[in-house]
Amino acid sequence: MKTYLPRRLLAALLAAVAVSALIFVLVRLAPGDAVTMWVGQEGTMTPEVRDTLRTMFGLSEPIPAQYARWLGNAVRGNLGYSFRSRLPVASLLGSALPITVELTALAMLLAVAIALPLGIISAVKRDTPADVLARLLGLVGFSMPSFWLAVLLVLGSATYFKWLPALLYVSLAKSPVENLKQMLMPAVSLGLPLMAVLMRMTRSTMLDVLGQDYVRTARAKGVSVRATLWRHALRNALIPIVTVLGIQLGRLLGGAVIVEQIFGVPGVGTALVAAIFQRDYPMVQGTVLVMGLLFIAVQCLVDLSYAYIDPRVRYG
Amino acid sequence: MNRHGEAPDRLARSTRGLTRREWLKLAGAAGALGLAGAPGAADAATAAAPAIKRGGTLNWAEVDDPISLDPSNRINDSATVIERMIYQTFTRFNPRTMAVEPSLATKWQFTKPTEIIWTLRQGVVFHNGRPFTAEDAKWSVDRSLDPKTANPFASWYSAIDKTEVVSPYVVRMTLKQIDPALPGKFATNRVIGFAPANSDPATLASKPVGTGPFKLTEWVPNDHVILVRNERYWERGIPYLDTLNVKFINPEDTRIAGLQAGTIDFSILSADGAKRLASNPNIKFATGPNGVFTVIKLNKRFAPFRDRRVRQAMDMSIDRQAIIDKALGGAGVITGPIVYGWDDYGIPPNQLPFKIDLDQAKKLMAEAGYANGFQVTCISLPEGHPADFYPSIAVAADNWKRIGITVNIQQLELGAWLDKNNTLDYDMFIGNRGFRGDPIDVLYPYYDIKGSDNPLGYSNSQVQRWLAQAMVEPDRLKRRALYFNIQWQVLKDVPWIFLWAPVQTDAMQKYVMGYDHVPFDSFKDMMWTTWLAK
Amino acid sequence: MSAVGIVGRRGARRGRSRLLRRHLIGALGAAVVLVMVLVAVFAGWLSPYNPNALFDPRLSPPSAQHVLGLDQLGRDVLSRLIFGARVSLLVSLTSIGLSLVVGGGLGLVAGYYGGVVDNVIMRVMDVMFTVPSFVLAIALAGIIGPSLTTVILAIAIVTVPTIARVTRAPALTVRETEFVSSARAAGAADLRIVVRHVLPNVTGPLIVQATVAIADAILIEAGLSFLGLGVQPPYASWGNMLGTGRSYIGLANGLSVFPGAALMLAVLGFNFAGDGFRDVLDPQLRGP
Repeated sequence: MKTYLPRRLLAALLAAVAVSALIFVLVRLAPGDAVTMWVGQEGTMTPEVRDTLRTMFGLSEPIPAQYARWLGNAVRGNLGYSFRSRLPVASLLGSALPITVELTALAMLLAVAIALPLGIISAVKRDTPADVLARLLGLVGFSMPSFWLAVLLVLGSATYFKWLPALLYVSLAKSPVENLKQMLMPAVSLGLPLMAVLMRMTRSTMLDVLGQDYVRTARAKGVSVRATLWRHALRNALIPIVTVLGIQLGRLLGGAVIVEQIFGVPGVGTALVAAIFQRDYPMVQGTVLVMGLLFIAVQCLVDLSYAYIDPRVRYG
Repeated sequence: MNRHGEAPDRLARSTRGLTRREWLKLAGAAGALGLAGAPGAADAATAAAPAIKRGGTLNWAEVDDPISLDPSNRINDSATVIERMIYQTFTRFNPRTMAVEPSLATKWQFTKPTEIIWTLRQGVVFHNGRPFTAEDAKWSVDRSLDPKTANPFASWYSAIDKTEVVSPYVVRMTLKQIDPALPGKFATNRVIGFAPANSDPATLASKPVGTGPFKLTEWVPNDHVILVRNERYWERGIPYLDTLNVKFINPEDTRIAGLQAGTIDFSILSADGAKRLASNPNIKFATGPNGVFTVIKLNKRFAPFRDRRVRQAMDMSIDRQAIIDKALGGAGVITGPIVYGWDDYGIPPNQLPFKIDLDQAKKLMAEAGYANGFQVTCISLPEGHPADFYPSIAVAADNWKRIGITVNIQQLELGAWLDKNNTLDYDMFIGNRGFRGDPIDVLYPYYDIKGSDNPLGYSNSQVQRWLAQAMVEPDRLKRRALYFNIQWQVLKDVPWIFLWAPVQTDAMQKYVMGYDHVPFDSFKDMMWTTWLAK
Repeated sequence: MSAVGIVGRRGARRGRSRLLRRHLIGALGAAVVLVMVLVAVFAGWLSPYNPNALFDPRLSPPSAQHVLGLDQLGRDVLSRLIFGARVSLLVSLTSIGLSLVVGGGLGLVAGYYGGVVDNVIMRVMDVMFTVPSFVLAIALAGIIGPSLTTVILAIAIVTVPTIARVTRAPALTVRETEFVSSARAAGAADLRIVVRHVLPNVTGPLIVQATVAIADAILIEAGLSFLGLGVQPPYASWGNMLGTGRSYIGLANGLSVFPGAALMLAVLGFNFAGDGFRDVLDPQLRGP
C-alpha cells in the first residue's frame, strides 16, 4: 500500500502530461487558428496584424519549444493567459472547477441516494409492481441521453410550473439554498443514467446476497433479517457500487459538459466547449489537463475507499 | 437646418422614427411570422405613452460571452452590444433612423478635405470620476490604430494620419487621404471607444471604464455581466433602468424557458423560437431588419462564374422568398447591396429588380456554353449554425437543379470556414457582410477591382469611377446619388448573389416598455430608454 | 442455482420462469438489433422519399403523405429516420469494430507477452483513460473538424482502452497454463497458440463488451451532434435530428420525439442483446 499509491499516482500524472502534449499539438494543427478567429470574417488580416498576433499568442516559436515553455509554467501553477480575454487561465479555471465538482458530486450523491433504496426494494420485493416500476425507471434513465432529459426538464418546468431557478449563478458559499435550487435540475439530468446503472447493480448484488448461505444461516440462527441485510448485504454491495462510480465518473464528467451548457452553469464544461470553438489554445490545454487531474484524483479516492470498505483488499 | 445640414423634412422623419409606410412593412413582416402582440403601425402612431417609471432590474439573456471588453479590439457581436452600453466615441447612430448624430463630439467640421476639427462635449465624466477631455480622445484613437494593438479593424480608419489636442475640448485630426465618411465610421463604435488616457490595456479588457450610460460592476466569465446606471451620465434623465443583469445562455431552449418562467425579461430569439412563444400572453416582441446581408460569393477561379450570363442565369432562377420562408421561417427581407432601412441609402425591397425567369435563365446558360449545366462545391457553416447559411444554400441548390447546376454543399465549422474565406480557397461560398459606418465601406471593398473582398475580380469602369468620386465627395446627398448609381449597376452585373437580410426578433415580458424597435445594426441602444412597468 | 434455493418448489417454478424471462429479454434485444440492421441495409427500399428532398410546408405534422411529418427544411421525417438508422449503425458498428481490432489486438499482445510490452501498452491505455471519453471526443471533433470519419475515429479511440482490458485478462491467464507453455516449448508459433487457445476464451466477453460499447457509441454520437460536432447533414443521424429537433419543441414535437425514441430503443436493444448473450455464455453469471 505504501508503495502502490505513489507509484500509481506517478504513472497517472505522467499520463496526464502525455495527454496534455497530445492536445497541445492537435489544437495547433487544427484548421483556423487563433489568429483567424480573432480577425473574423470581416477584419483585415494584414501581415503586420498576423505577425503581431502570432507573437502575442506565442505561436511564432516551433511547437516543441512552445510546449516546453507551457509545461514549465504549468508545473509552477501558471497555465498561461486566455487568448481571448487575456485573463489567467488558472484563475478562470479556479472559479469554474469547484462548480463542476459540485455538480458532479451532487449528481453522484443523488444517484446513490435514489439507487440504493430503489435497488434494495427491487430486490426484496422482487417481481412485485414496485420492482417492475423501479426497473422501468432504470431502463429509461439508462437509455435516455442526459442532454435530452435536461432540455425536457428545463422546458417542462418553465411551461408547466412556471418556475426556473434564478438566472445568475450563486455560489454555495454565498447562499446554499439558492445554489442548490440552481443545481437541482442539472444534477438530476446528470445523475439519472448513473442512478439507473447503480440501481441495477444494487439489485443484483442484493439478490446475490439474499441467496447466500450465511444469510440463511443467520436467519436460521434467529438473527433478524433486517439486521442481516444491513450489515452484510450493504457492505458487499458497496464495492461494486464504488467500482461503478469510478468507471462512470468519466461519463459523468463528459455529460457535465453538455448539461452545464443547457442550464447555464459556468463550470469547466462550458469553458471547454467555448474554448474549443474559439481556438483559445491555453484554455483548451488548461481545461483538459485540469479535467484529467480531477479524474485521476477521484480514481485514487475510489481505490483508497476500497481499502476502507473491505479490509481484505490489499495493494502490493 | 438639421445636423446633416439638410432640409427640414428629413429632420421631421428622424424624430418620428420610420415613416408610416415603413412601419406597415415591418408590421407585415412581423405578421407573417404569426407573432401575437407584435407592434403594428397602430401602436406607433396612436399609443398614448404611459408614465415612465425609473428604476428596476432587467434580466437580459445574451447568447455569447463577450470574451473581452477592450474598446480598441472588437472581438465578437456580444462584446459590441455590451461595449456600447459602456463606451462612446465622437459620433453615434440614431437608433431609429441610422442617421449619424453627435455623441462625445458636439460638432465636427472639415476645414480642409484632409482635416477635421472635432469639438468635444463638455461636462462629461468617466465612470471613475475623471473628466473627459481631448487627451482621452487622442489617446484612445492612437491606441486603436497602433500596430502593436493588432486591431484587425484598424484599416477602417486608415485615412487618419495624426490626431492632435488643440485645446481641452478641441481635437484636430489630419488625414492622409480624403475620407468624408469618417464621422460615420466612428459612429459604429466598434473599434474606437474612448477610455481614460494612459489606462492599462490589460485592465481595460476586463474592467472597462467609459462614459456610457451604464457601467460594469461585475463580470463572471461565461456566466454573466452586471451593468448599473451611470448616475453622472451626460444625457439628462436616462437611462431609466437601475441595473442590467446580462446572463449568457447559448441554447435557445433555455432562453425560451426563462422567458416562460419569468426569470428572463428580455432575449433575442430566432423566428422559430419566437413562434414557440407566440401563444404566451405575457410575452411581446419587437422586430426589425438588420444591416447584415447574406450573400453567395463567387470566385473567379471557377470558369463558369467569370461569364456574366451564368451569374445572371443563377440570379434569376432562385426563389428568394422561398429561401426566406424555408431557411429563416419567414424572418428575412430580400435585399440588394445596401439593406433598406440604413438611413436613406438603400433600395426598397419592392423596387429591387429580382425576378424568376427559368426560360431566360436556361437561354443564358446555353448562350454561355453551359446548356448541360455544371457541378460546383459551395462552402457553408454547419446546418445548426444560427446564421442559417446551410438551409439557404440547400434551398438555392434545389432551385438551381432546374437549370442543370448541381451544388455540393461542404460544411465546415467556424475555424475552417473562416480560413477558406480569408485565403479565397473556394469556388462558391455563402457568408454575410456586416453593417459599416458609411455605405462606401460596403461598396468599395466588394465592387472595386482593388477592393479587399472581391473574390470574383469584378470590375466595371463606371462603377469604379463612381466609387472614386464618392470617396472624396463632401456633400452627403451627392454621395447618396452615387451610391444609388453603383447599386443599380451592381444589381445588373451580379458579382455575387444577394440573398436576404435577417429580420431580428427580440422577445420580452409585457412590462418591458420603451423597446419597440430593433435597431438596424442590432445593437441594444434602445436599452437606454427602456423602463419597467411593474 | 441460488435463486432457486431460496424457497422450495414454488421457487423452482419461479426460477424457471425467470430464466425464461431473462432469455426472452435477450431475444427481444437481439430482435431489435436485427430490425435495426435490416432497416439500415434496406433503407433505400424502405424509405418513402429521398431524405434530402424538400417539400412544403415545413414543420407540418404527420399526414397521409408524410407519415411522421416534415422537418424545418421540409424534409420527410420518416425517410430521415430510416436513413438515420443506417448512419447511426454505421458510426457505432464501424467505430467499435475498429476498436475491437486495435484494442483487442493490443490487449492480447499485452497479456500474452507480459513484461515490458504489457507495461508499455497498459501505460498508453492509461493515458487514454485519463481524459473522460466524451471530453476527448469533443476535443478531437472540435479540433479536427466534425465529419463522419472524425466521429468514427474519435469514438474508436476512446473505446480502445476498455476493449484492451477485456482481452488482456484471458490472454494473461492462458499464458500461464501448462498447456500453452508446453506448446511453446514444442515450438508452436505464437500466433497459432493465441488463435487456438486464447481467442475462444476471449470472444464471449468481447462480444458482451462490444454490445455495451455500441450502445455507448450511439449515445456519444448523439451527444456530439447535439453540440454540432457530430455527423453533419446531408447525412441524417438520429443524433443530429435530435440536436436540431429540440429547437422545435412546441412547434413540431415529432422532430425530437421520434429520433429520441429510436435512439433509446437502439441503446436498450443492444444492451439487452448483450445481457442475453452473457447469460447464454455462462448461466452461472448473475443477471436477474
